[in-house]
Amino acid sequence: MPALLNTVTVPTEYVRQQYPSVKAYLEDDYLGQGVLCIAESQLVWTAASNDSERQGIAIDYPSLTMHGIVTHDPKYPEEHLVVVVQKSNDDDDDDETENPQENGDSARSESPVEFDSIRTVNYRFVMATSEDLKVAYQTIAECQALHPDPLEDMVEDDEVGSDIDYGEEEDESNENGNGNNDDDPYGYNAHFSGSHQQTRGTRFGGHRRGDHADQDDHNNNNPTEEME
Amino acid sequence: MSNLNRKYKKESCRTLLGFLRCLVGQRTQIDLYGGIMLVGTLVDIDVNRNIQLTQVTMSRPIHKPVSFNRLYVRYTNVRYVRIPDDIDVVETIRQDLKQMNPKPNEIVGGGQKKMHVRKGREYERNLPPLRPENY
Repeated sequence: MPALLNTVTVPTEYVRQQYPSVKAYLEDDYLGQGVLCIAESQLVWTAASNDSERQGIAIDYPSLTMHGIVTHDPKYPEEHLVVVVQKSNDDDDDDETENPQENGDSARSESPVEFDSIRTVNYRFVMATSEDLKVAYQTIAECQALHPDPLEDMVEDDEVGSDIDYGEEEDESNENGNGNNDDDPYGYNAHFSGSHQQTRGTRFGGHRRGDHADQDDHNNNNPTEEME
Repeated sequence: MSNLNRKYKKESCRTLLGFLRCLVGQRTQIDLYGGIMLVGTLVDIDVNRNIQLTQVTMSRPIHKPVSFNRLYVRYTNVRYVRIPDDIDVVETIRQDLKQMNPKPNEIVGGGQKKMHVRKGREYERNLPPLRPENY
C-alpha cells in the first residue's frame, strides 16, 4: 500500500484556524485523527502523534480545486468538509498518460479537446462541531482568495483602461462633465480616443498602450459599437 | 477594500465578470477541467472569479456523484459556466453596466457632486473677499 501521508511541517505563521481532533479520509481510506491547521500559505492536517516528525497532508491553495460542506452522503453519516485537490500526473500509473506532462495545469492548455489529464482526489475532514465546520469552510475560502495565479501573458490591471477613473468608492457619478447623451451613456467615447480603441481591439495580440504603430490599421472593430 | 471595488468595476466593464455576477441565484451548470461537472445554485462570484455554490451535485468521471451543501470552486478550474436559457445575455449586461455607472440624475439619494464642482465651491469660499470688511 503506497504511503498516503507525507512528513509535513505545521505552519507557524499566519495561521487562521487550528482544529484538534479532526478525522481525515483520503477517498475511502481513513487516515486517523489529528490536527487541521488552516494557514494562509497551506492547508495542513497532521495525524496526532508524539513523534517530532509529523505525518500528514499539506495542501497548497493553488492546487485546491474546490472545497465544500457535505451533509448527506451514503458512506459518511456525519456532515463533513470535503477538499478536492489536484493530483499531479507523475503520481499515477501510466495507463492513461498520453501527455507526459508533469503539471496538471499545463496539460489543460495543450491536451486534445476532450482529454484532460487532470486528476483530483477527495479528502474528507470530519470536524468536532458543526460550527467548526462552517468556520473552517469560510476560512479556507478566504485563504483561497489570497492565492490568485500570477498573470502571465495578460497585461496587468493598471495599463489598459486606467484612464477611466472610477473615483472613490462612494462616487458613482460619471467623470464626463456634460452629463452624457444617450448613445454614450458610459462615457466610452470621451475616454477612448482612436489609439485606445485600437489597443482594446488588439489587447490579446500583445499590443501595449504606447504602441502607435498600428494606427493605420482600420480593421479593428470599434468596441463601443458592440456595447449598444 | 476600495481597491477591490475599483478592480471589480474595471473588470466588470471590460470582461463578463459583471454579467456572471448577475447570474447569482440561478441554478447553473459549471464545467471544470478534468471532466468535472457541477450543478448548483450560484451564491457568489468574487472579483477573482472564484465561485461559491449551494445545493451542488458534483459529478466526476468514474466516481460516484457527491452532493454538497456549500461548495467553493477555485477560478482556475472553471472551463464553462452554462447560462440558463431564460436569461437574455445582452440585456443583462446592459442593465448591469447601467447599474455600475448610473447617470448623475439617476442616483438615488442625490449621490456625490462631481469632483470639480466640489472643488470649485470650496475654492470660491476660500478666496479673499472682493472688498475688505470695513468697506
